[in-house]
Amino acid sequence: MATVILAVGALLCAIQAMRVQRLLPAALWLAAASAFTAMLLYAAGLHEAAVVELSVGSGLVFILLIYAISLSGDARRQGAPIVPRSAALVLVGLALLLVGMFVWPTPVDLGRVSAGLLSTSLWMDRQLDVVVQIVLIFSGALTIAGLLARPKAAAPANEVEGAAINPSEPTLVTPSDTSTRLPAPADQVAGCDGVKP
Amino acid sequence: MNLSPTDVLLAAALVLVGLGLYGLVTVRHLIRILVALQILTQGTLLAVAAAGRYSGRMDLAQAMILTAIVADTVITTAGLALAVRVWQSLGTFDLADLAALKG
Repeated sequence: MATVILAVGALLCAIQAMRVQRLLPAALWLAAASAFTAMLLYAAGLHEAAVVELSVGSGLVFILLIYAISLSGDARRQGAPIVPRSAALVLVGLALLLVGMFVWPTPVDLGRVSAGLLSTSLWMDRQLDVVVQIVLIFSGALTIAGLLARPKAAAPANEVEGAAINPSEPTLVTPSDTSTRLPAPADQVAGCDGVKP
Repeated sequence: MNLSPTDVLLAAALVLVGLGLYGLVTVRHLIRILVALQILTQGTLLAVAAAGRYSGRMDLAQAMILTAIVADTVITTAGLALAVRVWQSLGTFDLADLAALKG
């Protein structure tokens, strides 16, 4: 019964995360769905995985989402979907049918729990997984550093519009700074009036 | 109909995978795509957990779930960094606007 309640809670939170218009409530619903998933994993006996899912999936990812939303603003949903909803439903139905065909012969619940330890399985049998995780964590840290890095300050307007532009240096245009213009092509800069020398 | 907890786990996993796939196909907002990817991943984690219970290899399922969580988090982080960069340079999160990019 507890498993059913947790599963329904996870599904409702996931549906709400997809339905709500604003990004911040969507991130909150997603964190709740992740927490329900962690509780489901714990109820299924996968205690270590539940703890990692709760801390990383529900915690770290939620914080990253909030940080990205705070940088960019809480935009509402935009535009119609590229793929029509009916076609998307057919595609999803086909995918689930395919998965179901693979899963269907499986349900023979052995009802027993393996005597193996996670530490033995992870450090002895799945060493490649550990190496992959280390590489992934390093690349993730570098990505976070890239996310946190501040963009290069745009050049002053008179310098951008004048002839003292170095075309080899890219200029970053931010939406909040609409007065900044991209550097003109090199031939136009050299002629100052759009006339080629 | 008598469903075991593992059956419930598998059913929830299938619904979450379907919901995440639907979101991935229909959503145009870059951050919402990552939200859909997270939901899809949660369904996958539950499916692996159900497989571990069916086969009795809970330790192996946990090891694979840990790897999946790490990979999913890194992908989400990279996606968020990319989305923020796109917003800083184009002022939009709309996937359709990225079609105008030329490299």
